[in-house]
Order: sequence, then structure tokens, then C-alpha cells
Amino acid sequence: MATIGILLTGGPFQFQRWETAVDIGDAALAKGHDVKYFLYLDGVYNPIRHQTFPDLDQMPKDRILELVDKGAEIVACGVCVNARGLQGGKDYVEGVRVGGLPDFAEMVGEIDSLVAL
Amino acid sequence: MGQRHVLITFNHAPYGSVYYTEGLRAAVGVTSGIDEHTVDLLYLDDGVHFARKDLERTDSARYLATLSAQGVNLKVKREDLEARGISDSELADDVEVISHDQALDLVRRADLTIDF
Repeated sequence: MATIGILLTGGPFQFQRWETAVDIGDAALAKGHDVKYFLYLDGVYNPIRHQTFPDLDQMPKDRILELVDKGAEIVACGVCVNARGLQGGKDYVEGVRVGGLPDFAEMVGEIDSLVAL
Repeated sequence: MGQRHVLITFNHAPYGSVYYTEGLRAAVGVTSGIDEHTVDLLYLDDGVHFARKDLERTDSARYLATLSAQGVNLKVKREDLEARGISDSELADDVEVISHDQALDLVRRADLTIDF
């Protein structure tokens, strides 16, 4: 089994990169691979638990919570989080950790392949 | 855990997004870890405009200085320069021009590739 890294820089509700990132991670987990996400730039908006949108059955935060429950490791860039007023990720869904680029560097050393979205 | 070689490409034109400076920040972060990963930086597509000597570097200078101190060289693909009419005389002194084949070699040598 492999360890898949996913670097997500896209936020929700404007582009679909987050959905592609979640779908890839979901598929990899279903095949028994390990999946590690690093949320960078606007990617840090995806796990906010207060998301609502009338036309969507599932919010990005719901999909992320599912990934966490399935064993994905999800770390958000703390500089990006605080730059966007997210106050240390206090409103994130459970299981998403706020870290920093050293976490990304560690991830780079652990993964077999990286998907950047 | 282990040391990896990472190729970071810059594909977007200057101005209008933070991808360049944030990509450089990521490059510094990647090389600063305990695994001491190494990086190559490559300008591609519209990102080749970052190789121009007249480009303002206020936001990127500190990251470029840190990476330069680590021996990281800036590389730009010749064919993408030519496609945009950018001549060698317009390029910054710290940028190395490489061919398409040499760029492919960078991709082959890299353990991981990230585009910004």
C-alpha cells in the first residue's frame, strides 16, 4: 500500500479543486492506501464547520469529516489560517490539525506520490 | 521518512495571484525540515516572466535569498521564453536558461513535483 499526499490550495464554492482532492483521497482510502492532506492558501477554508449552501447536499467540511473518519491525516497551514482570520482553526471540523510548513516538509518525506490541486 | 528531491514549477504570470511568493515560501519550508529535502525551481509557461531582470522582487527577495544561500538555482525553459518573445538580454543574472529536454530531465529526477 502507498501513502498519497495531497496539497490543496483551492478554496470551496468557487473552484472544484477541493472536490477533486476529496474524491482522490476517498478513492485511495477505499483501496487501502494512506492519505495525507496539507491545506495551503485558500485550501484552509475547506474545513470550516459553519458552511451552508442551499444547492449542495454535502458541504466540503462534511466530506472532510468523512475523510478524517476514514483515517486521512489533514493538516492546515497555520500562517494561511491566521492570515484569513480563522483564528487558529477554532471553527474547523474535528480532526483537522493546524500546523505549518514543517508538517508539509515531513509529509514530503513520508509520501510515495503527491497530487497538487 | 527520508530526503526527497522536489521540483517546484511556477506556471502563472506575475501579478494577480500569490502563487509565486507562496510557492517560494513552500520551497523554503520544504528545504527547512529535518529531512533536508532539496528543490529545483523552474519557470514554465507564463511563469517565465518571473525570470525577467526588470521584474520587481520586493515580495520574493527574502525567499530567493534563502534558497540561493542553500544553493538552489532558478531555471527557465527556453522554448517558453521564445514563445513569448523574451530574449536572453531581458533575463536576470541569477536565472539559468534550460531546454525543454533539460526541463524533462528535472521532472524525471524529481521524486515529487509541485506546480504553483
